[in-house]
Amino acid sequence: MRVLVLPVLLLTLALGGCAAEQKSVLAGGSSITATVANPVGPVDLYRAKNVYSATLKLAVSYREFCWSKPYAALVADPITRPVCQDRRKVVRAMQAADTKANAAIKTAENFVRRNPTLSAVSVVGAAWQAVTDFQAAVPRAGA
Amino acid sequence: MSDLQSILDAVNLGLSVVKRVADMGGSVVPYASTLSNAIGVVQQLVKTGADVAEEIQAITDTFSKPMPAQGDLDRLDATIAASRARLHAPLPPAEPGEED
Repeated sequence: MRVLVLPVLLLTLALGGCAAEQKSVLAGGSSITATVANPVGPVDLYRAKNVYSATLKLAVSYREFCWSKPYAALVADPITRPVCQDRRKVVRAMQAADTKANAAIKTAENFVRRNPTLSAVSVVGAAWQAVTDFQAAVPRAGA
Repeated sequence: MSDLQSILDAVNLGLSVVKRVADMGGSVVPYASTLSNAIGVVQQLVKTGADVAEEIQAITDTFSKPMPAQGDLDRLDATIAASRARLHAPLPPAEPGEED
């Protein structure tokens, strides 16, 4: 009986992978051999990149706003002073946050490209978090 | 501006769909709140006059259309690269009264 166990097991697994209705355990099914379309992947990453792009424009907008006038004029104005008086520190913080966000997005892109059937949830999640952190580094001018 | 508002409304609608899936324990990245922060970013950009119509439309389209063509992906990468270059350009020297 023991002699038959391994071939039967292998046959079961093979059939499990081939059956049209079998779902992968990664998708809530029971098959450990069925492939799964990437549940988190290119479209999520694309959304993250668009939000990242919009955040970058906001960061650039801040920088250009706070260098649109001499520093003395910016700090003399009660509206621009709180936004721009630490402009150099703010820009450096935005640059650092952007470097991390960009790196996280690149990591996610490489993973999705190389692993089309694996879930990209952790790398895309990390990319989203990095983009959120970048958003937090950008002051809300005029808010 | 009214076109932009209707696009923002569409994105908000899309967000509510994503959030419902997330609340039901669906296998989505828990980024619904981050995506809703994106609305704040977009609205801020509208206030400062920065052009983000392209990004808004792209996010809206992800809820109703297939993945964009390679040309659109390349265009997004080029936009990102150009923005990064401007953000990371060396700062001008500190002015009188300004800390470096």
